[in-house]
Amino acid sequence: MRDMNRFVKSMFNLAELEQLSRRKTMINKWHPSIKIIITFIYILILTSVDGYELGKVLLFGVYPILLLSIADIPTRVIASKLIIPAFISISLVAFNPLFDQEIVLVINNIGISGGVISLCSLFSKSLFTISATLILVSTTSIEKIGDGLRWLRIPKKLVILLLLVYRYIGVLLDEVSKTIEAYQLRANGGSGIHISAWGSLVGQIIIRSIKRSEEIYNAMLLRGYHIGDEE
Amino acid sequence: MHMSDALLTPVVGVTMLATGSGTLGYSIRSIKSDIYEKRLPLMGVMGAFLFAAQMINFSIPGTGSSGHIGGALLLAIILGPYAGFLTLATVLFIQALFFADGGLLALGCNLMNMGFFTIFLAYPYVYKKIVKNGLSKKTIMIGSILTAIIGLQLGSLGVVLETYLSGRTQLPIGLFLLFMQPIHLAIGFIEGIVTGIIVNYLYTQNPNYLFQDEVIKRKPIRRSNIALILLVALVIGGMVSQYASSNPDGLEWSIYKSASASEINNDSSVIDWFNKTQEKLAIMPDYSFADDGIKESIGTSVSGIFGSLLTLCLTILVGTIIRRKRRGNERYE
Amino acid sequence: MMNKEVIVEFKEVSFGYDTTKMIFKDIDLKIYGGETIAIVGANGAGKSTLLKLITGLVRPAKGIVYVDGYKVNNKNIRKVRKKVGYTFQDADNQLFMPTVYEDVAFSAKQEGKSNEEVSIIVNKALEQVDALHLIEKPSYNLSGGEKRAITIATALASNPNVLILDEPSVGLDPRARRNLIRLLFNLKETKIIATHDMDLALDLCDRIIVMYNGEIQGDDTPTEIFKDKELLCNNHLELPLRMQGCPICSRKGEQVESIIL
Repeated sequence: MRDMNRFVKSMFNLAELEQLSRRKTMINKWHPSIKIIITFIYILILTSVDGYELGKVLLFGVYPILLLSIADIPTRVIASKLIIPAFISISLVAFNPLFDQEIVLVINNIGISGGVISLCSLFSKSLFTISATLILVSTTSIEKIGDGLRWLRIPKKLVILLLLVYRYIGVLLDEVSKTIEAYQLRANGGSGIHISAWGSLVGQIIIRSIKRSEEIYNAMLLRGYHIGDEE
Repeated sequence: MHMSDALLTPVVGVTMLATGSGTLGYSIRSIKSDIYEKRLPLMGVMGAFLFAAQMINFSIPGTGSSGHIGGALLLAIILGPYAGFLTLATVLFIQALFFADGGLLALGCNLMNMGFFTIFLAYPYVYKKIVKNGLSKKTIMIGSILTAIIGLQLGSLGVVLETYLSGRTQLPIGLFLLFMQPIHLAIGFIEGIVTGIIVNYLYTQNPNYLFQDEVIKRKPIRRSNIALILLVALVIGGMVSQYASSNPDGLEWSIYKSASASEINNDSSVIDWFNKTQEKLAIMPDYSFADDGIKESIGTSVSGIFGSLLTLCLTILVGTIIRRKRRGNERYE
Repeated sequence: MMNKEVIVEFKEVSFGYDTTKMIFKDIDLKIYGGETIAIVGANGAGKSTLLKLITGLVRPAKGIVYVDGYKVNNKNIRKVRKKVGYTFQDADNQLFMPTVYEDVAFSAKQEGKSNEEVSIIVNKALEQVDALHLIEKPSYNLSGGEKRAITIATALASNPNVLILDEPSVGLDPRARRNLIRLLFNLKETKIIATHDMDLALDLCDRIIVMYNGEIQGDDTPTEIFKDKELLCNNHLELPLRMQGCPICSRKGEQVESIIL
């Protein structure tokens, strides 16, 4: 049943961010392109800082902390989406302390290696970059993000695809979780899908999705849908 | 396999973003507008499906563990390479923004690692070649397994190279490769089998569920444009790096000065005060410098680190005050 | 309230997804402006296909379909689709934009209308279905009844002459269903409703068309249709629930007080 939690959690996660992004706070009202650009530049500059300059890295934390407060984003909401991903995202390179054991400073007679410094720095960077993107989506609804991307000359074809995918994530999460639930109720325990069902279970979901997309296409046609060439 | 922003430097990140954007542009141009119009709803729903499908636990027989699919190959087989690549890009974008899986800067890297190699290298040169003479259970399965393995090997290599070139890890590249490649061999094998089984099912239900080639008339791309974009990317990335690391941090500089107060003729009353307070309160722990030039700067940033931590604490305090005030004053929906 | 103008017409229309097996053979049908018509029939009788023929989503193998005087063909298809508002059985397939506003605004935006015009259109359509309070909401989070109302709003946004609804009451709880009936009752457009819900047909419709095996078996007022027991039986249809008598009363022949809700 661990699968269930993953689907439900994702839906809940999206819904929470969705709700936050639709409030009428000051930052929510800023032009979306500006928010996207600021977030990107912040990440760009932060990631350029050397790993040993921990002091400098930490100072970058001022931005997300201030913005979280100004935008009144509850820390509880952000923390749950932030802490674990921050750890996971640097797990690939968590071995720095093992390879860089040269002591570079001593505090109160405890030696701290360069590896530890760079690891702390990596973790902080991870924390701050993820905060910055979470702040972006907590203050900008998806259709505003779409507008912002269009303003930044991202092709309309790609933006409308983004909106469609986003729109149907909830529907598909629901459908997949229900299909798996039905399977598990008949499958005598075990938290995964047995190989004998890989094809039919997933295949059926795909076929239903194909049929759904045909209906969606009809719905779009009936409302005058037309994508032209541009740019 | 999602890389996060923290692992990258601007140069690598922006270069890969440029490459990814170029490939996206190429893909858009490769699908005629009316065909894109028709395929868009399917792309949308398949993208959403991919998102959900990545959470499915596939029990691997005999091991007691389970695997997950990335789905790039599946997308390519159902939607075709160009539509599949575009769809994958939107999924990665949503994952980076809303689920902290990957990052904005790392988007290009992730798109290339998880999409480009499988969709534009492995799929046409392995899968399509194998099934060229006819789709059957066997060809589909063999094609899927080989394509997934090769695609993921290249993708994993991409991760290693991008991480190594960014220099944020101390892991020796040899060891990194030794760790990543075999793991992704296993992952690729499983992805290949799962994809093969699913595609086989779809094929037996209706061959039309799988993408069939169309004649592509692509608008010509000027090569000079791509080169220009890459050049701009490199320049920006390089400039930003230079700026950030060569501009001495104000706080750090002043604390450096105060740290070597004994050597400098100290007139400034602020620094004087700081020294006196430090002595009185002994807030700053003892620290020592090492002799080396490099380590000296690290050494000095001990106070930088603590200064920064202090700054952060103050910021949190300020932030809390802002929140309290807001709750008192404003009402918004 | 019916006027004498023919708004939808089928002239000798034949259709089949597979050319060897025709679903419809030589269908003739006239629908007049202002009518509310129910198309009833068992599953597979061809109801949805009939509706798709009106919108041009499928084209007849033989014969012509007219909407407001226009032939349904490639040349007129845009005009035809502007005149016809269509709601799908599965609301999720129809609401494909992230928010209610974007969904209702879709057709107006496709026509290239300005932001102000679009806003006016959206507000008007949502008011008609009593759903203005949902304007900023994301589509996937709505209840069944709310989704249904929004699908109708998306159809109304293009100012259609004809409203086509495919099984609108499926999946609605009793209250939402009652709201739907009230909503539809107050809309003045010509309405063509494919439905299994006989009570809805009885409540709303001037005319019921019974379909079976791709043929029109009956075409009359609800009263006449429901009087014809043989017609209902041959076409696997039942009377509206409230005409079937009180099941509690008739159980085992006991005299039990009937429960009237």
